[in-house]
Amino acid sequence: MFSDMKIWILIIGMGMVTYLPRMMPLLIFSKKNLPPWLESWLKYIPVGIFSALVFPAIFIRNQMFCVTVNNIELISSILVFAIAFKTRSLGLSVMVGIISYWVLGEVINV
Amino acid sequence: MLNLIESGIIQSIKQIKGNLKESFSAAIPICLGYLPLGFACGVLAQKAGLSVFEIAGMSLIVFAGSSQFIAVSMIGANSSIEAIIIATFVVNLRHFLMSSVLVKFLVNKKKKFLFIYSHGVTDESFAINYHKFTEGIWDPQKAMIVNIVAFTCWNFANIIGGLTGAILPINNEIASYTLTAMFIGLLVLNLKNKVFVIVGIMTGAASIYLSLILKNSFYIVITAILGASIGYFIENQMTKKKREKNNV
Repeated sequence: MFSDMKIWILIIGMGMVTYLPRMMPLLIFSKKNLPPWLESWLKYIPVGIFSALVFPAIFIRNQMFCVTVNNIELISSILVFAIAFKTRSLGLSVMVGIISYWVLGEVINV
Repeated sequence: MLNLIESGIIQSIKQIKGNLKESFSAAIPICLGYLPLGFACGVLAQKAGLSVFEIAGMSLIVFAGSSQFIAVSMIGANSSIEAIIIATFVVNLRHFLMSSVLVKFLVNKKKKFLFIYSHGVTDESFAINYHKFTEGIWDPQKAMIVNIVAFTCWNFANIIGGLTGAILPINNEIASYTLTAMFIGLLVLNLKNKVFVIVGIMTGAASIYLSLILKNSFYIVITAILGASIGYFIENQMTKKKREKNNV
């Protein structure tokens, strides 16, 4: 455990290294148009980020690749995928996700 | 004249109310995840020995969930300050990409607006605002409100967690799955054509592999850069082919 002083140095340090990457692109690029190649490259960034946030969360358990029937994240997620694809509704997808995750958790009880 | 002014004021109040309503409902999934997770973060920070002021300070100043969890566990494990700050930097570098994507929706905004907006860029607020912007039904004000609502939820929850310790029974798995479900929805909604689908599948596979070998959130940065390069390459190949066809 750190001293009080050190904790605040830590917090401010963490704040700076978090804030600068968030702020620099907005400050640098907001006044000028991005070159077209960069625009079309950046277009694919969000899908990559969403994939990276989704796939490991549903396929990895305890640092292992896991595809089994008691992987409730995976089973709920298949349902959420289907609902999102069919209805294009974010709210409904999230609702179905929460309910199915909760119900499966109760049923499978892991 | 007075009536005109009056109706003008009423009009703008109505518009602000409308904006607030839209932004709040857009932020609901974020808050459903942030409240329980923020609470858990506050509880863990308290257990690692942080005071409520320090917990509030960290969540207000850093405002980045995964790095706060990492920091708290590193503090508990007696890591050095330098190591924690470097880990935070690496884990949060992905926001650089998010801000770079968002910038085209925020052109010509004042510096002050951008300085405040930057602080609110998280995985979740980015995801929701990006989606709304591309649907063409969004503006910087509404996006800012989403950021502020998310920020408020996260900090409120951290402080309550820090104050109470683990009194409230909360299921963190459901909370973090709420955010996963939100990202799944946004992933699907963003698969606008074949190129996006290919990028989605390839980055999905890559992210599983990379997250297993890297074991921290930096894999998100690598996956996103990989995905953007794949998408860009395919798009270029397709336009080349089209041009060749037209020439023949």
